[in-house]
Amino acid sequence: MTRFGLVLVDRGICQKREPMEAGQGMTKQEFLSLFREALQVDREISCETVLNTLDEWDSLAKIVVRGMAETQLGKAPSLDALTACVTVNDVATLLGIPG
Amino acid sequence: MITLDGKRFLVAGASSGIGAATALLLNRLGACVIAVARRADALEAVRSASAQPENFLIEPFDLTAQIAPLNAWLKAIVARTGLLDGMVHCAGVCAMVPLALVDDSHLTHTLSTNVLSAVRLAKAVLDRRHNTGKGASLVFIASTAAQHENAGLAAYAASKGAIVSLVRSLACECAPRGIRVNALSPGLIPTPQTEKLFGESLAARAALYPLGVGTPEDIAQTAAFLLSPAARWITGQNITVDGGKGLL
Repeated sequence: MTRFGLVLVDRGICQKREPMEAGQGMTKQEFLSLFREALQVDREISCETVLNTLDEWDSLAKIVVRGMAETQLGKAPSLDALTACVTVNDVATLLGIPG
Repeated sequence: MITLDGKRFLVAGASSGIGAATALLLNRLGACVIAVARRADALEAVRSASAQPENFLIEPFDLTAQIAPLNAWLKAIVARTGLLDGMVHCAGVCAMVPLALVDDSHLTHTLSTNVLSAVRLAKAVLDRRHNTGKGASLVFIASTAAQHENAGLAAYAASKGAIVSLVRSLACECAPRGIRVNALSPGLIPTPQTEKLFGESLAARAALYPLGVGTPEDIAQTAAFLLSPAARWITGQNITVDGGKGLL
């Protein structure tokens, strides 16, 4: 596990577990829950939420989300790929979360 | 005159010395203080001297041992009292140990108390759900031991140097959110801890300070300034408060 994954485990955002196939076993709801935890927000975020409307969606948040993906899904998208996402659903798709 | 009316600050290491003086001053300036230390009875004694006891909350907690529950503990405090406007980390230990006697136990104890607890607490306080965001301020008590010669303080000096470096990194990370992070390096301040450390040589050391020896209140005043909106353009700094000793 890389340092990004370890950070997420250490922060209590993720449980350490063996990486799985991208998206395998994680529902969209579980992804949204993790995404909110990664951004440290309590308010509702939906798949349709436009990322640029979230103050919390900054470069560090992208690193946290990448760590989350790495820890939970065994997939580490590039920061460029995350930056290219427009909505939360785009992030889910990038991580292979089934619709 | 700085006023901190309506502000809410957590002070770690508030049971004695600089921490106690800081907690009492912030409370006197109008802030609600969440005073944290291991010993409830010592915190209670500090609260009994506070200007607004109803605004002085005591939260016994061991930042070096209760690691896993830290975030949940702070979350519960915030749910009860409201979002934090900042914190002061004063928790620390200091022992004069020549290098020949430094062992892993001493290193671990010093670094765990002085550095790791600071990082853990900062992480919990900086959770977006636990602080007010823009305008919030974090202050860490470092020491001039990180800058000047001090034989026999290898672990302590290293731990305080780590705090100064920690502050620079956190300041960069938090600036986009409008949160400030600074360190404060006191010179020799007579406290129960330094009196125990230096013993009879304390008076001789005090003579080296052009403005004379300082007090915990001197450090608390600077901490209050750094927490206040008056310091809104200061971040990532290590402010030395040493009565001019650094000039010599």
